[in-house]
Amino acid sequence: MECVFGLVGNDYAIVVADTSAVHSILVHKSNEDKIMVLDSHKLVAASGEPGDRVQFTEYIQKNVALYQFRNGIPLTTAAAANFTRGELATALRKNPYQVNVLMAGYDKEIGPSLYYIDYIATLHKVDRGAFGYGSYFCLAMMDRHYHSGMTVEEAIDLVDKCILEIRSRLVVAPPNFVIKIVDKDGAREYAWRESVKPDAA
Amino acid sequence: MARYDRAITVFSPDGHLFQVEYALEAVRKGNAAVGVRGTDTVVLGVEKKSAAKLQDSRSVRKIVNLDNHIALACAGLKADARVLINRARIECQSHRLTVEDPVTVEYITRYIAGLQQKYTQSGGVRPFGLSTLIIGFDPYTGVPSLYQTDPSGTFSAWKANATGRNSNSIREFLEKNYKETHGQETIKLAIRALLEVVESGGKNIEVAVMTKDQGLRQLEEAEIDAIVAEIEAEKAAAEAAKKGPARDA
Repeated sequence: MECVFGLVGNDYAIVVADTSAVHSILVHKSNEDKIMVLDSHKLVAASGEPGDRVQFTEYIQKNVALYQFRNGIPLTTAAAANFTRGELATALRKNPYQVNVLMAGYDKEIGPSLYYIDYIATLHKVDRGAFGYGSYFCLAMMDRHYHSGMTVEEAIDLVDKCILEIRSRLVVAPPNFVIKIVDKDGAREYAWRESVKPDAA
Repeated sequence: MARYDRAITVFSPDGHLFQVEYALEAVRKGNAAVGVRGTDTVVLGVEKKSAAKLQDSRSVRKIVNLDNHIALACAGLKADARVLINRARIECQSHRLTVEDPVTVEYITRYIAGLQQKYTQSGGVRPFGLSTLIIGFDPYTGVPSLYQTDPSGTFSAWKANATGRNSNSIREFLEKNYKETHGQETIKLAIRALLEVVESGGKNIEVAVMTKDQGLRQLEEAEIDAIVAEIEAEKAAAEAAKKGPARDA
């Protein structure tokens, strides 16, 4: 029931993730942030087995930081995506991580980019991508309304359309979503979309 | 004596580990490095041997980052330094991963010193031929620190210290002239100490400054030259003041 999706604009990339932490029929919390800031200009939106999700993304984050200290410059988004895929591939036939990842980043010379990496280590560079049951609705909405060179406002409008579809058509739709953006000024939280006020924690 | 200095794991009859002492000799031959701790700033300065004409000096950085809030300079075998620095960088990230906290300066110093000690008590290896100066800020209290390690694996905290060539002269100077400083004064003190043994000029010293908010900043050659000029002017003024009144009388 987890929904993660994202898209690329002319000078930014946006990723959206639902924020429910669910175990069987119980919702543990509805403000779980599943989009990690990998470094100053990269976002990793992950969905899947909760323990694996946190373990794997933190492991990638620390290795990306180590690369930067060793080499004096940060990894490009493409390099980080390929590294992530490699780790998933290596673990696949021994101890697979059940984690799907959408990696968004902004590189100075290259601009924004989005990478679709699924749990069996498929890697695709995409304009728009989605994981989970929500993907059936999001991909359709994005195929219909997406065009290259959208402004941030147009993109957020499309994101809201996708969230509306998920809420109205998915049987156990997650109530709340977080939207994060990455552009030349860095990776940061953009907004939350809440239909159920989360616990005051 | 010759029989007791071949292998590291052999004590001499009078209690020496000769290989460790020889490693300390290697450190004494290395370039001078100085570290000074201020109230809100910590500074590292390293002597730069004159660069070969065809060498790209940017690829020879002697003061390195271990993490966002920790930096290291060393004197001795630079190739050994690369190995230690690599292990320390990995440990900094590993610590963040397992306990979700950045390392303290003392922790990473203890780790590096522990590594250096391990190599004084193993078969078939030799000690690391370098002493390190480690600076940084405590991630939560913001208190600045300066630590030193040596090939034997001992470490301790310092207000100011030097290692490498002529470190005794630099240390003497620091003992005479150290006082609590902050900001630019700390940088000046470190450069003044280094200039005791190094030819003056921006191209002969590398200086890096760490502050709590801005992390490590390497000073540009022009900046160093400006501070060196300031120091020389102050020295000249002090000399003139000494001579002046005596003449009049």
